[in-house]
Amino acid sequence: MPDLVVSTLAQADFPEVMHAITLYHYLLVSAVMFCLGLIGFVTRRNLIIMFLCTELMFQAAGIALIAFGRFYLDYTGQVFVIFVLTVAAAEAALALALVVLLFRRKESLDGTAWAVLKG
Amino acid sequence: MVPACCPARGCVRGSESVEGARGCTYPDPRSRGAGRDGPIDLLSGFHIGSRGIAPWAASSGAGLQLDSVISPFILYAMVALGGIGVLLALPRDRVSLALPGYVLATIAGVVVLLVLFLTAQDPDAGAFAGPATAEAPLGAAPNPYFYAFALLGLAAAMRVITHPKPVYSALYFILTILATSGLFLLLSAEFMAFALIIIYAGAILITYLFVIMLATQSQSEELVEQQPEYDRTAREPLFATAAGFALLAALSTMLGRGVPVLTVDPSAHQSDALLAQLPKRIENALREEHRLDEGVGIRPNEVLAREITATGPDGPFLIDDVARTVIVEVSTDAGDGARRSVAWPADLAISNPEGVGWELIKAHPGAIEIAGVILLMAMLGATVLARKQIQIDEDAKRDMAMARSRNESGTSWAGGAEEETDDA
Repeated sequence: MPDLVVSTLAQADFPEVMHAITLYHYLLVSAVMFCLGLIGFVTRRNLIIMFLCTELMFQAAGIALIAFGRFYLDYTGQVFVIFVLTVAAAEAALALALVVLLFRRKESLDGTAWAVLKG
Repeated sequence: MVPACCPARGCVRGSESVEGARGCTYPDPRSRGAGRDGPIDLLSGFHIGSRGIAPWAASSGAGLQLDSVISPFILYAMVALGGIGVLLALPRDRVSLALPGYVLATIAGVVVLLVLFLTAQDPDAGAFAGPATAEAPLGAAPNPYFYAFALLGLAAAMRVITHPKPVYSALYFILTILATSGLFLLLSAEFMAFALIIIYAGAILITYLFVIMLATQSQSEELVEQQPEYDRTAREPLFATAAGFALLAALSTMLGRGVPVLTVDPSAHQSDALLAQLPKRIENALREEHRLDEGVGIRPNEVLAREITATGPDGPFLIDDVARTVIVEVSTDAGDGARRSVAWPADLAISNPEGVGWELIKAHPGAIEIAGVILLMAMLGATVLARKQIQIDEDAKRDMAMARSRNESGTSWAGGAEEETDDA
């Protein structure tokens, strides 16, 4: 039943209900998510939450990249998101190893406890 | 009303002409009283001229504005309201104002999305969609899934940055990821949607959860008051929120330049030239078509024909991606079988993973290698960083084992010493 399969896949159906969604809609969602991540990174003091907020900003960048890629009908945006994911995974591994190390030193996840590092 | 060059169709890519008027005209916002003489005039700094960076602005002539999707007054009022909401919802020490904060931020988000929903342009009607009418039937209504996913993702993102307990923050982040992958699905990026769930929700966030459980003091922290102080209070919430939402106001204004509509059906525009480079894909599709229906497709004794060169039939495959046909020939050893032209299956189009994979391998092979090296280095680095303490743990364990064996009787003392040398 090839017809059934094609018509139920997202590629075939979802663009039809894409009416009335502009690029602005997606970029606005991306901007709001980025700003929330930024605020979280600045205000929260828990090291883990701070890194979680950077992941939130990565997500926002991904939404913008894919929306632009969709607008220009180009796969480069999606390919770039793959590399963003790669960097995010590498960053998470390293940052969390550092967090574990710092936690063992001071038994605390407080970012301000390491203010001496600023020299 | 200018029959504008559609940004999402031919003009941006610069080759094919606009097909029909579908999705290619914008209502001039000035014609509905929102121009320089209208009440928006105070904020007319957003009007963009015809020389904007957007490639379609020059050809369309009509300056597209932010207020063709949302009034700047509403946008800024709701940005301010959302900022106050986030400010209230951030963790604070004594009295918790989280609930009114969530309510304010939710009101702001819902109002913005509702305005976007109601004023969204319908590319078919060239007018504003609104509720279903005779001219704009329900099928052309704005996409409700976008608003659902956007609201869910942003609400979860707000919980991520305001929740005092790290474990809940991480769980809400997983919700954000699921909503984001919903948005990716709506953008026809199926591969990235599922890759996001697998990599982010499945791998990265689980790592976060492990570290949160490793690195959190394990008292019974049911009450927020028993949380450590650095989780209960935010650092300079007022300045951070004001700066963040000022940035958001500026960004959302700048993003309104052009307000371009997304192409309704992306698969109809980009895949054919790409498919011409994938002969095996076409051949498989034609063989599958023949298997389902004897009358069409490639017969089992036929193969795709190559162009005949000086040395024989070893040129490129004869694939015409404009007419969507391919030349096949009866398979013979000499390569001189009878040739005929076969049309592609009507529904043959490149799928999203195929497109992404082709782009990845063809255009960015070096970047893949670099990404592999980055991941390897990160793995090595994480292992080296987290390793040291384990040595101390081993020493402590040995000390404990020795102490325990000393406490036991004399016969087992020797046994314990033997075990110890084995360990060493």
